[in-house]
Amino acid sequence: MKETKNQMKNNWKILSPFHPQFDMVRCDYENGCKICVHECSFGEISLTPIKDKRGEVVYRPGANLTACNACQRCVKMCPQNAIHIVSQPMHTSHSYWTPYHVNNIWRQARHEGGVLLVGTGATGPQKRYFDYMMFDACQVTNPSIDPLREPMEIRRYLGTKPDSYGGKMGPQLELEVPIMFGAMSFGAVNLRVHKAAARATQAVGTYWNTGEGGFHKELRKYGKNTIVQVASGRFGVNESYLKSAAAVEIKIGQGAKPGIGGHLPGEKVSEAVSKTRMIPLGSDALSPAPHHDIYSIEDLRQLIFAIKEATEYTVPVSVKISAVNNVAPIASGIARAGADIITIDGFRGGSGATPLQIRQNTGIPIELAISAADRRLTEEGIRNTVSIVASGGFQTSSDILKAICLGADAVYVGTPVLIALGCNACQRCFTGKCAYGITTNKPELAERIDVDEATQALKNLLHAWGEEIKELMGSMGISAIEALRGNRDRLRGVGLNEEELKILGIKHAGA
Amino acid sequence: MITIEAKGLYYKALNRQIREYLSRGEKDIVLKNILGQRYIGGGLNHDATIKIHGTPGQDLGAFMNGSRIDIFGNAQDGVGNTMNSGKIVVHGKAGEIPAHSMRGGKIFVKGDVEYRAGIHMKQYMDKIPLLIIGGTTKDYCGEYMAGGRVIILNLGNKSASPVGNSVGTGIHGGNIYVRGTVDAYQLGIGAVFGKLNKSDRTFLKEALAEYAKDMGMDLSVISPKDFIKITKKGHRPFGSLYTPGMNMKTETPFHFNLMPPCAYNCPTGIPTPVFFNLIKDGEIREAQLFMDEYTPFRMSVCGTACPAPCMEGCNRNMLDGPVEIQKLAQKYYPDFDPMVGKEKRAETVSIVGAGPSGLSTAWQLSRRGYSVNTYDATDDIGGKVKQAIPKERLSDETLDRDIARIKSLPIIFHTGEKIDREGFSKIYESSDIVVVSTGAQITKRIPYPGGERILSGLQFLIAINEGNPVDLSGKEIVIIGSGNVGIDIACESWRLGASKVTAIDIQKPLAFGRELDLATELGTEILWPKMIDRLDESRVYFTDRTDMRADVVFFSIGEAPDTSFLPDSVFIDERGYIVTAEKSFRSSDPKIYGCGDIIKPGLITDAVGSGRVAAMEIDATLKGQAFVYPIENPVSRRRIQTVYFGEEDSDIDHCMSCGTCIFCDKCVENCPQEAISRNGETFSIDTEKCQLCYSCVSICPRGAIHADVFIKGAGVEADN
Repeated sequence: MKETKNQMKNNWKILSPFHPQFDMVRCDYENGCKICVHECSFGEISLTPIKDKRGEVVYRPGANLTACNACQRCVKMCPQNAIHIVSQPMHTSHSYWTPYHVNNIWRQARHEGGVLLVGTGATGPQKRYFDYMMFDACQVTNPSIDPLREPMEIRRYLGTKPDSYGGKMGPQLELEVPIMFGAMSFGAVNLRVHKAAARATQAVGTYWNTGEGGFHKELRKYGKNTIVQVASGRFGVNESYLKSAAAVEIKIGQGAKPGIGGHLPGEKVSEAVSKTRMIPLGSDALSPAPHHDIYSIEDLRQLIFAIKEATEYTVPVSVKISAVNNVAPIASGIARAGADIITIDGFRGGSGATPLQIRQNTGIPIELAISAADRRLTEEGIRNTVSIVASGGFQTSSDILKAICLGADAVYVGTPVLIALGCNACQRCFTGKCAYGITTNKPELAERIDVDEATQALKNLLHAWGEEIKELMGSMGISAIEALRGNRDRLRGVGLNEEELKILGIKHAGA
Repeated sequence: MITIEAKGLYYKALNRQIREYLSRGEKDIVLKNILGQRYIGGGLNHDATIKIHGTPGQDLGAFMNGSRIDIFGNAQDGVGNTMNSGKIVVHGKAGEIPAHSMRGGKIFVKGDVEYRAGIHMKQYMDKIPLLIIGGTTKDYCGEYMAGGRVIILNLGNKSASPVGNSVGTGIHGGNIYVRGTVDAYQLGIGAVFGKLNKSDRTFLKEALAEYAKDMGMDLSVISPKDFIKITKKGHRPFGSLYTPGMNMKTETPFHFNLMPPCAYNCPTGIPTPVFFNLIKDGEIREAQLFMDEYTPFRMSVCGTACPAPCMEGCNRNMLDGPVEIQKLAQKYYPDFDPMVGKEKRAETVSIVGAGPSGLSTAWQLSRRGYSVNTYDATDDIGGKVKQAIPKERLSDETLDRDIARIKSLPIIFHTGEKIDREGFSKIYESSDIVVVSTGAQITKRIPYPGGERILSGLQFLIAINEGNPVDLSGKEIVIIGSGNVGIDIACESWRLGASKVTAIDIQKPLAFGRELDLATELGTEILWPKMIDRLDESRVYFTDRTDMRADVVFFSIGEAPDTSFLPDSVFIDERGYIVTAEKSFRSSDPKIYGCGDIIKPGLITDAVGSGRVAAMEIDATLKGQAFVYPIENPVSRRRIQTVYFGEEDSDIDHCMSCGTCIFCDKCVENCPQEAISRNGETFSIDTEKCQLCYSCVSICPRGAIHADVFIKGAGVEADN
């Protein structure tokens, strides 16, 4: 018998946890349909030639069992509803060594032993504090307000407020809804997504954030609704960039990867991205962990004022940080450093690419962070000098309103924007092969986003959540959202312990 | 020109004043008594000049987008931070991070600077920022540069190495030029020393000239040759830092021809689909010339006598039977003499033994321009093919067609000369290389009790061909050994009147092909496993206690070579074959090669292939080239998509061209992403469009495009 050299490469073969299964009776391959093969951008489905009843060669789809992560694109696009995704569990007897952990070690043992990289936000079992806080409602002692028939104001203004009535005010951002679209860079998502975000926020009257990949020329006309970001890589940052937008945000950190800089794998650095970021084509864009001109709180003040000087004090300057242990004194320092807005991004915040261990294990929940920062600034008597924007894992309009009750002036949402465009969080944004055309720069895939329909979808989302917020407000007897900002008395904790209640600053239900 | 007295003026007010003057059209501003004011020139986009006397504060020229600033004094940290265009000239020293994230424009510093000079500089097309430092700089110079140029002049030669450690750490674009020493340990991750080329030298000359002019210095003593260049190691210094946390396919499919089973089975290695493809394209002469590269025995062996292992392995067996390779070999037999290459070589090669292997060697070497002599003990060339194969199977007329073509080559044939030791030694002296291809002629015998009467099967066949057939009328024949030769003996026995023919073997008989079918049809019984215990005058007795009548018994268990005429320098193994190195035909004597049955027993086609590869080795050795024993990888049977075939009319169209691309373009036409295109014989796959679905791999009718396949020995590996 022929001797073969022992190869271990199959030991580390990752069995795809899912694969498509085809109902061949419904499948229309005999008429030449190849839609599923075309739609799967990950290469899971391939064609095989077979002979049909007439003796002609036709091509039948089949699963490769190598690349599926249940993004469901093929299922949705099949005109015959002939596909469903089935799971392929590795083993079920262990609850400790889950396939997640075993696969991760396999991935690192083969090839060159790299740092695991993933997309979207943290998926760990930590508590969603929003689920443990309930709103009050008006019953008997004070009347509720009918949002269907009475005026409700959910407008917010972000920026430095004066110390006393009639005092000097800094430049303000005016939001018709307390929701802005979070920072997702050009490169992490493509121009169509940015276009839809810009147009939707312009139509509704709120803001979108460019992220750290630069501000595309085609979108400069939406500058009045745009917040540009200055991150550690300084991609796309120049004088006209700073002057083109409604606000400038210094990004110190983000919830998905506190303490380190952004990642855009080389696969996603296309011609357009190379031009906007001014880095070589196909080269990885790894932003440094710190800004190399910010090593202390004094340095932050220096950069804030460098930007204010460059923009001649006409726009608010925001500072974005991740929610970390001492977020309260950090927020205080940032306020005193001259920022007009502080954005705090909780650990559930999303990303196109982030090291897995940092995503899962760094940062604190946004609910606790907002509350801590709001209360500290209030105690120090400087709460009016900044607006606080919360972000990181908001999933519903009720989450947003709860954050406002805990002290946020407004929120950023990131992942919901992508989901509104079709994303189902398969976590493969970093590959640049998004089957829905969202987090990819490949032209053939980006074409799957229709800008008009995407714009409408985002407008719908903002409209829907705005209406839900009004309903919640009305049930509480509030007609102006200003009255709920930091209003902890309208929240009660359910199933939270004393420590948690104390940090959130709310009472337990029934108390 | 406007002068601003800045003493005691807060930076906000100062900068507001400057902006006001500029917006009013002022082109020249002089600032006096500057002491620590920050952000001077920050965010300017005017085309003006600002002269600063004194010590400006942090972030001078941050986000600047135009104008020229001269500082007559020392600057602080962050000079030109994220600058986009314009020029800053510091007639003094500067602090940390000068040119941080700079994207355009120029910064010249007369003296030293601190850490992270030029960190994160960028460029796009011809927008290339430049930082020139007159003195030295500290660690992390050029960290994570994506573009731009940094020059460190080390004027005054204050330190041997004017850059600290971790120079260019993470650099993936741009260059750093250092005048002074830089040791390898000072380089950061992904930074390497580069070669100064012409454009570097031109650039340095021009940059230094401009710097000298702005600084009012004479730098003519400095030459571009004085500089060390530091640049990026590769495109993605951190490319292998990250591993995808999800399943990812990365290998684009590739077109690559693999060996079809017919060629893989053929010891001569004849690539039949290539032959057929040429014919189908109408290039018949090319096809025939192509065949001449492989064998001179196209009619007699391929077309007639070979048991056709090619057809045994033919993938068409999965459908409606093998391609008629033998018939087609006959049909497309060349009608011209073989071509000899133009180059005439000086070397002489002598080949002892003009059988199929020796003639194959002679054919190959003569056509390559060598002087070739062959020697044979018999009166003609052809060896066992002529002597031992029954004429019923291979007529003289058929064989002579091949022999005639061989004889048309400028080979000197010495026939009727049996070579002994002395004769061999003469040949050895007068030739550059000697090839021993005398085959195996000594019938192997097993000394069974009573077996003295057993005849040599080989001699039986030779005698028939010489015109002296044995009459076997009414005789019952037993043949010991049921290989292809045993089967020949069987068929001839029937022809000569035998009433019963039995072939026995101790293992599964090795006979195959048409001859086996014919022998069986005639009534030959093949018994195995059967071992003889003893014989008497009329019967043979087996170890299993059976026996049978055996009027005539033949040995057909192979022959052993006669090596008595060879010098002692040629080692012979314990079974009597010439010892050659693995994957080589050279014997222990570097001037003597062996091929054919004398090194290893086999079919005729084994001999032909042996002779051919031996000739290739000799040719390479004489030319001083490396010789690689040809090993190729067969295409797997499951790669052949038989659904595409079955309707073909002509024989030649039955060939499915396994493993050999015929440019049918099914991959091109059916790629769901339209990512494959072809220009002539070159395919290209657009890696942007390719989704790695590998449909092309399963669509290809013949397995000529691959992914996820480890192809041994071809230096090609694709992994999941």
